[in-house]
Amino acid sequence: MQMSGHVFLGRNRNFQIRCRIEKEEQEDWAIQTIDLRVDYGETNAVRGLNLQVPRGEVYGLVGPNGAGKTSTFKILATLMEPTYGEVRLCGIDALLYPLEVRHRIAYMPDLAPLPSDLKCGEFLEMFAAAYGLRGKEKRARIDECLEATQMTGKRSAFCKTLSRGMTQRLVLAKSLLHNPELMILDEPASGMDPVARADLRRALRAIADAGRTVIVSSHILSELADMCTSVGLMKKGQLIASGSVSDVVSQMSRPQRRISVRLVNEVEITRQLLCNADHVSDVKTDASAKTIRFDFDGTEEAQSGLISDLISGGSKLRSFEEQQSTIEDIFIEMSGPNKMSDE
Amino acid sequence: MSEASQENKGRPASAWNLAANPIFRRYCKSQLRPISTGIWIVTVLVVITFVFLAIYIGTTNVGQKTDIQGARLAMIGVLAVQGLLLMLIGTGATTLAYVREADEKITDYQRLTPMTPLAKVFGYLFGPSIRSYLLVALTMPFAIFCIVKGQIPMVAVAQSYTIFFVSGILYHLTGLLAGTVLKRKLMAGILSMGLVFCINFVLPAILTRSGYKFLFYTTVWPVLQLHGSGMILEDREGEKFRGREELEAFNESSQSVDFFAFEIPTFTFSLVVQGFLVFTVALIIWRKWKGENMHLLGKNFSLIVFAGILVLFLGTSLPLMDSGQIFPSMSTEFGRNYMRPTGTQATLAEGMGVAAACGAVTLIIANILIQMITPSRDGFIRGLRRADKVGRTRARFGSDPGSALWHTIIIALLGASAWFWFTNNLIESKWYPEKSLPGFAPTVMAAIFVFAAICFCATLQMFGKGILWLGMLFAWIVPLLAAGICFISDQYIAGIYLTSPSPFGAFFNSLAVLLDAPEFENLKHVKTAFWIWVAIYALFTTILVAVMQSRQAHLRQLVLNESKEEND
Repeated sequence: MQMSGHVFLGRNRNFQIRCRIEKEEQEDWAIQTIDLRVDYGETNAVRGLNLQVPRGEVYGLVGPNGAGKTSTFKILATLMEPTYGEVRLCGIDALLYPLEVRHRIAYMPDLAPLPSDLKCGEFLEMFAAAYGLRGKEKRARIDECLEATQMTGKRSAFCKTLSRGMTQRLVLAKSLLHNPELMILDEPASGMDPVARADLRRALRAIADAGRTVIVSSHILSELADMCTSVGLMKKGQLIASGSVSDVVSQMSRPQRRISVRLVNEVEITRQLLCNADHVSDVKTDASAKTIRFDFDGTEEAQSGLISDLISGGSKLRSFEEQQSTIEDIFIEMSGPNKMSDE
Repeated sequence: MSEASQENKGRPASAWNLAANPIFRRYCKSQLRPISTGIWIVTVLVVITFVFLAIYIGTTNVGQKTDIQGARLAMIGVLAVQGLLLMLIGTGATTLAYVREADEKITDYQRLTPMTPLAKVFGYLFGPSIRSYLLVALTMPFAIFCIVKGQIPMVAVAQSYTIFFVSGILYHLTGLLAGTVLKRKLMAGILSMGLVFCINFVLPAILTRSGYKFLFYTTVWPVLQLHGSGMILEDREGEKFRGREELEAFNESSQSVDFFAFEIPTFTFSLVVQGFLVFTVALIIWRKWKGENMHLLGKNFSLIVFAGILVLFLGTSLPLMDSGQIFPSMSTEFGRNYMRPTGTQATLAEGMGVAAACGAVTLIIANILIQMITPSRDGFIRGLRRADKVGRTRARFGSDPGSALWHTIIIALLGASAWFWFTNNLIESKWYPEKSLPGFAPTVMAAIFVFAAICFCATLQMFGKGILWLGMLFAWIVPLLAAGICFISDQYIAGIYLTSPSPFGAFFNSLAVLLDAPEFENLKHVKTAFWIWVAIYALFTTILVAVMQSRQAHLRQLVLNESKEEND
């Protein structure tokens, strides 16, 4: 694909031509970033980010604090300019034509705020008008969005009286007003209780079912894995893996298999056998639960031999399970020493 | 989404359609809630009724004046209340609303909407102050009564209210600017209302003494004084009263503004000055909406703004020289009463003082503009990285992250030219027949501006605002304060030498060198102090520019290496 530079060609005359060409070239991509870099003074937040999200995907961006997720989201939302790089959203160059892009995207920030002096209905009316909705169409759309987020009853309530969960839902309703093609949701479940999170998850599923592209970041990874059709892993400002959840998990999993053994008898005999066995490392025992976990990097045949050796050595096995890595395992591993650092 | 549905996506209303502006409408709702608006209405009605009745009945009944005179005087009270509502309360409301939105992070939502930056500026300019406009409208019946009963000419009414509302817009924009620069609600609110007070009462009084008379026309006073004095003279036609001649002379001189060789009607000139400032401040706010990290002014446009300010300054100050109005001894009450009788008006020392003050104010304005266009260290590095990506070695000349050095030099030279023009005209005026500036005067004057401005820019670019402020405090201000203490302790020579590190001291000292005035007792020391200043600042400027260039080269190399590593 041919990439054009940031040459300003004259907004009105060239915009439609450029859009048409870009649409033909990039019909399939909702998000495309090329060599994106973001710096805050000496600190490099995002580096060489090449992200491609096809239309209609629900894409989860995962990474420890400080990985550069929020900076990436702010650039995608046209709230911030990168140090350099290109950003195309729905086929449009977001750095050259931010106003055009804003018609097509919606952004929901982490801990989304609300104005304290407005009522919920007034808040939505303001943004509906800002997106060019008028008259009956505006009223109908506000009703639809309130309905979709189960906030109809709160239309006349002041925004400042809403709970955290309701606040998130109202901001979600605002984000839906202009029927965006792309929704950028940064930690949408942040600060919500489990019930509110379940509500939000349902609402997001409905959005995804309606065919919109969603890019979302969350720390509640089990939910993300359920909801997303693909995920990307970011670390230290770089995208280190991207694809379907299973692809990313297999791509990022350690070469060793993690095996869990449950016993009927004492764990000590089995522990000794395992410590002396080939291909076995990192043996951890839980005596009270009569369980041993260890890493195994041998072949399937070697694994079968190990089971025989354990039985013949006196281990009374109740179960022998190979554990599957989850996105959560990978995330915890990635977080490592950066776990406590802030973004 | 299909091509057709893309085309059908709604477009926000035009920026000029205020009634459909979502931000304006949002504030119409939140600022005009029935209960709080009701309380405001009752309060304002009580105040305006009291003011109106107290003046009108007091004048006609107690003061035995006619109804016409009573109504005309009551109009002043009504205007004062309207001014308070629109300018002070309206500006405060505008600033606070803007800062509160930034504080609550709601401005991010506004940035995300496809409204144009101009529509956002209009929304915030007229939205938060809507209650002030409503309350002013509420007082209009009193104003109409005064206009009709007082037979106030329609020209006076139209011109006064036009200037009144344009000033209101200017002050509201100033409030938005304060809200953009300051992030703390309380500070921004106090600053914006303080600015309104300063612009109206303090700055014209101070800056007019340094030749910046045009700033007086940023207020409503010139137009109000013109029509007010006219009406008093009309009221008391044929009557002899104390001060009549002065009032007639004042009314005559208020009709127009001398601008270079032209006479421009006061109303037109006020509109031009306020329009220029409204445009400039609106542009600053527009830029901040266009990109949060953009400088307040573009580098090239800052040159135009500075040139505009200098043209207004020279145009209004030069015509005051021959009449002597440029001298405080001849234009202020204090001067007329205490200096003129002793024959100390328009002395060489006073002329030098006026010229030095003019130079100092010009340098302050130049530095404010330089501060707006100088990139921070981070901004500079970001510009280098961006430039490196497109195969350049530095950011584009004149772009925000580019070095501000050349623009600083141009600004300094513009300031020096204006200062030379002003001083030369003053010295060549009838007041100093035997004096003239020597041929090397432009070089000396340019050196002062260029050295001071470059030191300011280089310190800001390399070390940031905190170090710059400390540097200015200890190099520019503290020496002058210490010198002041020495002067009042009769330690003149020590005082003179203490002024040498400050450019503000250099303005006065340089004139002593240029004019070689034998009437100064300590001329020798003043000259030495000035040459010390030149030496110090020439050295500092050279060092700072060299260090800045070397640091910039180092940063360029850093970015280059980084990019090479990435490519490898």
